[in-house]
Amino acid sequence: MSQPPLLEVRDFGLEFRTRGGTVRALEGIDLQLHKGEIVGLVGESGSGKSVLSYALLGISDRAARITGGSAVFGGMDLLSADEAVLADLRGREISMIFQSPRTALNPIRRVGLQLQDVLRRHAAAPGVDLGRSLKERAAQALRDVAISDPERRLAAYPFEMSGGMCQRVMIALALACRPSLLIADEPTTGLDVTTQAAVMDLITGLARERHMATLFITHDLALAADYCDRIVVMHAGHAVECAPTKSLFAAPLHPYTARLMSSTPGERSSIVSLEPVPGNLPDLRRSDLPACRFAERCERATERCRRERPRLDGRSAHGVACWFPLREAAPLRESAHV
Amino acid sequence: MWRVVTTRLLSALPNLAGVVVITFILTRALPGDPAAYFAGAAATEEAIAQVRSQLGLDKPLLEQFFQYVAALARGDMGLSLTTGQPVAQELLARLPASLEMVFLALLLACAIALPLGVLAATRPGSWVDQLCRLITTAGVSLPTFFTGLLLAYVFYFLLGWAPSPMGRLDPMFSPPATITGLYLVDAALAGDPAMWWASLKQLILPVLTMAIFVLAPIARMTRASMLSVLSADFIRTARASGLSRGTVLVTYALRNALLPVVTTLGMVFGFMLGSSVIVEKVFGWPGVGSYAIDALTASDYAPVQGFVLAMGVLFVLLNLLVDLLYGLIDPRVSVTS
Amino acid sequence: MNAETWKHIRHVLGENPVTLLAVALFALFVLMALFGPSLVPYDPLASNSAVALQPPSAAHWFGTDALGRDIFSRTVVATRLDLGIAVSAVAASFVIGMPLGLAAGFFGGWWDRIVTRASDTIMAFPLFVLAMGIVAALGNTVGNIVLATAIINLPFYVRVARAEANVRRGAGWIEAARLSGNGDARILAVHLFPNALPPAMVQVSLNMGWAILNAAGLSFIGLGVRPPTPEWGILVAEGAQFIVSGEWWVSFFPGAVLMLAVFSFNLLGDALRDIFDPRRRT
Repeated sequence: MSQPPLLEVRDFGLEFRTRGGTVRALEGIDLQLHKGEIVGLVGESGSGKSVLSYALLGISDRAARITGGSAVFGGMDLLSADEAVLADLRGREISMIFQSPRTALNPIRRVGLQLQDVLRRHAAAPGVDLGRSLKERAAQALRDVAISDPERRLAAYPFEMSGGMCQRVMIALALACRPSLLIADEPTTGLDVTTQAAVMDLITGLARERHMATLFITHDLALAADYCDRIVVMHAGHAVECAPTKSLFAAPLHPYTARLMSSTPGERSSIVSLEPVPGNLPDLRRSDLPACRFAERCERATERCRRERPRLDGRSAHGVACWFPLREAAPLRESAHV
Repeated sequence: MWRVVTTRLLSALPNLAGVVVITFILTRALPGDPAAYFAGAAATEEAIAQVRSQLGLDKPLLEQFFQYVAALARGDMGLSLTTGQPVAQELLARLPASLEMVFLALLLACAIALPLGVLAATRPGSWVDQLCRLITTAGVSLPTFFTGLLLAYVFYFLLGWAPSPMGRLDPMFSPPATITGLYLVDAALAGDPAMWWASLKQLILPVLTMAIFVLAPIARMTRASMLSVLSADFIRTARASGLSRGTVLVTYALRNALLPVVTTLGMVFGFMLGSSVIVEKVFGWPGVGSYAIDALTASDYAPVQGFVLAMGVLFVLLNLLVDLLYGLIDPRVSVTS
Repeated sequence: MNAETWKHIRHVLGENPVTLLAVALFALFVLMALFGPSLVPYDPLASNSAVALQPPSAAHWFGTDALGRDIFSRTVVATRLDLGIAVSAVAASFVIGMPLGLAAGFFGGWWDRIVTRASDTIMAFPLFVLAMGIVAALGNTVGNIVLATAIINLPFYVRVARAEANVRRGAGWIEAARLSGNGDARILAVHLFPNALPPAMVQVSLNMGWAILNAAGLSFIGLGVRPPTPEWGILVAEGAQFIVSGEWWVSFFPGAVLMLAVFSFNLLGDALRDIFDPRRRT
């Protein structure tokens, strides 16, 4: 059965005007997210994953310019909405959590007050529980993320808490008003492995429970494999492959995806068999960028790759943006989601 | 909490000691015979000899130092030649006048410089920013005596808005009953609005003069601090949570940005205490600065040295206060100290 | 100074026209100090009671004072004295403060503690008050003004030099220099000192402005330079009593020129800071 996607991004492009030149950060991005889906956005640092999410929320850097495309959330055009509307959306319908949780929280403000700030801001939103006081709701938010003794924790400062606990607080902050979309930008980077697993379990558990769409941004392919229904692979500002997790790992179609997998430790690989992806991300300020930005790192590249940009077919079950994919792509079907 | 207070107090002690040592050196550094200076120009040989033994100037330097410290501990800073009054007493009596002016100037400077700094930080590189920089640089380049005179000329002579720049109170009024020595406070406590206004009117020009001088460091620090805070991670989180622009700017950004500004206050006090001397001269303000200047002109040295010592001690204590204030408003401090 | 540095300097100058103004003003003041006294229309000390307290006119650009002296001439001539005092004081601070600071930062230990303690004690006073105390104690002469200003500016150079030396103390190339036989003095002079120069230069420019204000302030309250010697602070003091009766020009022009001088030094200091360390722009 098909439902219209909660978030639909089509042919989205964005650039930054800087002193050193114009950085073409994103080009032709196609992305879809359905209600309740957990999608992983995977790519090297600098591939544009975070930039995309900031643009969706409308909190991009001053120097950012949208060059084209559309982003529609629940029927509303995010790109043409004015600031007041977007500000209402943030924290209430679309929330975001960041890496380095301790620095992402106000260091001199008590955690409880920070929660209350968000709750108060969106107090008039429909569907939000007005019956209880802000303090009670803040305590409840902490309870929802499995923080014990929440009433006492409300008075704590971020520097008094561990990294994992800070991340839970940030999740509580993001989910306090029950958004329908959560963007998690590298939420486990910087945390130790056990805490990583706990945080990921928490996020995905809450997502399933609340039927919340989640966009999980990471550079760690293995982590995405463990938790995501679908994965979108990004490279140098392009979305290059998009498939359900199982299909992606069973048969990656884009050369870059395959390279990523062979550079990531997994159950079946040994240290010796790991190979890094050749070359580096191209400098996005260049005016002579090849149309397919992986062309210079790809041994299968031809003249066509340099001239013509391959498009990702968002509607197919396993889409790939490549003129010479590793295998034939799966036949067109109605898009299905797990 | 008390541990923080005591550690700060202890760290101020070496500075206090240094202040005392330096002022002692200054009292003994007078060219020629110090005793002659303290006895006065009209003193006879015997009077000078008497002063010399009284002050212990014939004893070894170290012993003199201990005598000096002992005298200070008793509150004895010597006698003023011109007035015949104990220096310590006169300094204490005049201190509130200077302090009232200094604190009001600080308040005014903050009221102008903080918004200016925030404005410049929210529009970096714009003409507002450049203007802010120009105004503050100009402010700190203006010698206080010049600003004072200029303000007096414009607002008193030309516009007639300000009262005559001569002293704390119009000669028609007599000062309020001394409780704190701060006219505004005392007038308020006595429930006398006419007096209160009269005192305020006399305060405006001197306070404005001093405030202009210290606008620059406060505005610059606010700007730099805001710029740094506005690019911090937690501001991004606040925006991503949909908090209003006002909340983000004030409750999240400004409160964090003010912390470094508070640490600048110590330096600001230094500028102000120094320039208060000049401002008091320009406006005939009966504070400790003009007391020292009058004494200086009359070659009366004890008041001058008492003044330097008092200012040094005051400055150390003010810095201590700023430190403690910082410790109070930054919750992270008690953990790390 | 290589081509890269020149390009950077030109970029900074071009980006901010105010900086160019500051450089121009600075040059003007240097010229005034050097050639002013020989170019002024009137003898700065010559009084002429017939033309006392005249407002600015074609004959007297800045007007005349109570004794009929030409204020323009007096103001221009004062440049040499004020700048001279400031330059001597700052130079003295630099020459004494830099080596002290470098040594303190480099050797550490007792040396560091003594120098830092002395520096902190000076900073424990409001600096103008300390200058007053020093001049009052040592005697009311121009030399003592210079000495007092030099003393109160010492801590700035000590601090700058010490910070630089501290940072580089453990650096690998310092060890290498030592191993190859360089004595400590040589290391300090040839290696550390040039590195500390850029922030010190910024400090010099800012301190010049400060020193001028200091000297003028002390003269205003009667310390240091005595009338009838023309000095900006004294000129303003001479005109102070006339402000309330409306003869504004006696104080205004010397004060305005004084302000311009300090202003240009402050702007210059900012520009230098931008050239040497763009990160610290405020």
